[in-house]
Amino acid sequence: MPSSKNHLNLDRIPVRMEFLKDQSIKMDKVLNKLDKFVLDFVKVLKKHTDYVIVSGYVSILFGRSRATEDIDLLVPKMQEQAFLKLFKDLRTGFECLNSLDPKKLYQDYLCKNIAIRFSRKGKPIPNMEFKFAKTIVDYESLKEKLLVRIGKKELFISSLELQIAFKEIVLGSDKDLEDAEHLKTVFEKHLNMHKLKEYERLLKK
Amino acid sequence: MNKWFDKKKNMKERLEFVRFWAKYVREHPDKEWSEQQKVIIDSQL
Repeated sequence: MPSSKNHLNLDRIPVRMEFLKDQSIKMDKVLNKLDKFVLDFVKVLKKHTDYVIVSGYVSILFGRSRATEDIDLLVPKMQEQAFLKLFKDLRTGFECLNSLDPKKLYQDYLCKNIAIRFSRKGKPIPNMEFKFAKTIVDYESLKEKLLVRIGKKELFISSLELQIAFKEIVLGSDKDLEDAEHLKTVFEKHLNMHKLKEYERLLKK
Repeated sequence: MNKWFDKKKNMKERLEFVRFWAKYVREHPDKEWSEQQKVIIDSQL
């Protein structure tokens, strides 16, 4: 007779994404190529700086049935030396599509609020669109970021309410409206509607 | 409305499926929906 523990077989209990008390989200998804790319990238990035992932990938992470060629990433403004260290560390697995010269990237792109793109070596798609936070909305994304845990891996994404409001009010393409609708439906019972209205008001100004 | 294509109607139909799939994601184990999503994403990349 099997013991109750063996009989239960905990490995086979299906898991659904859930909000935890510490304001993080736990998931048990099967990772696709996009997820693996993002998780590998932020594993290096988090050793050097704070960050938040915004826009389309947030909806894709939570199940939207589409791919994307780029993932949008915001980082607080870094000093040049700190960026050079990050660049050196990223070069172990990634390459920058704009230039191989990190000083040029820092001065001619990032400091002028132009995004740079990193991909896996020799594979331009998918790529990470990396830029410094600039606007009040960018800094709000960093401040209100949400931790997502997938097994032992983790990443930071923008607050769901901010994502929805930004996609509906600022971006507004068919694809963005679909992304917003997806998040609203998946997280129907977890969204802070007061916060969502506040963001809508801010973005309509 | 364009003579050949009703964009508004098409968007309405697309949103209906978006809601259907999002409910599926919400109500099924992560492994179940993410295996289906992986097929689409990995094939496009």
